[in-house]
Amino acid sequence: MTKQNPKAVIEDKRPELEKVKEEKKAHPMAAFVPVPSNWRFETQEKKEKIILLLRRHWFTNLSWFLAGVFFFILPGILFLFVSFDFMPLRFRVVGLVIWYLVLAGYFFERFLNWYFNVFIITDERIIDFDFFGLIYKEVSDAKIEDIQDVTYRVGGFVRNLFDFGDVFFQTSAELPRFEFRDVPQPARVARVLRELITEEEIEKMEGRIR
Amino acid sequence: MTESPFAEISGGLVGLNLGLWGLVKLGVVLGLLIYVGFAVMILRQVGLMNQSLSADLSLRLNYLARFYLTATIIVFFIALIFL
Repeated sequence: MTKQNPKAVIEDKRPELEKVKEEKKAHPMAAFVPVPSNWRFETQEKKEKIILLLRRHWFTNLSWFLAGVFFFILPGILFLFVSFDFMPLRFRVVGLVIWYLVLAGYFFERFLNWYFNVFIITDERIIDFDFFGLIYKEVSDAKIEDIQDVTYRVGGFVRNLFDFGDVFFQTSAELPRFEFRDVPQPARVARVLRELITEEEIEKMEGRIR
Repeated sequence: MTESPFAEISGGLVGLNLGLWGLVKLGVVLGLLIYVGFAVMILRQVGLMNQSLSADLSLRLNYLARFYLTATIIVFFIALIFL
């Protein structure tokens, strides 16, 4: 009889939904948030539960963040190499204050854009919240039972390294194709969706109506 | 004594002897006034987002947006008074 290697990784073969529901509470600024307890959205029904809340992977913020850091240090660099003696001191000080005020606004606006553009998977629907610009929003949703096909894609070195990609849904709803772009753990998201679809099909067969 | 071209132009156009830095101040103050409007829009945006999605950080983001608007108004008055 062969001895089992005690160090061998025991594969967790439980359904993905179960694993997601048992995960400990994620950081409020995480991009993959299982069962977020303090989140509610305006069209959420009373008994509807959020299973997964997803945002674009933090890596997608790197470009604007680095640009912001560059603009943060730019005045320091400029003051070292360029003489601003032609400018009265009060203009230099106020100019600097305005520069950092605008920069703070830029960071804040980009953060808000990332934080609130979310993809939500509930036990009944998938919802895509998109906020464009300052006062334009678009909310799309599709019922789990209308989802016909789930595909995910992870391409490129960076995406493979940080495990983020796109998940596509084909639906029979008004909006035939849904996309969750740049979400973390897309394979896991696809598995959760497939299990939810299976659950819905079983409920339909058993004749249960929510 | 001959005036600088900017002083000549400003004096001729608006009837005021603003000078170069006076014109710059006017531009900065007007720009900041527009920016205050932008800060109000950010506050509105946060309100709209919180209305659509109630989140962990909703209250804090609301306060941050209000703080940002207040800071913008203060900077506007600083520019108006000290420049």
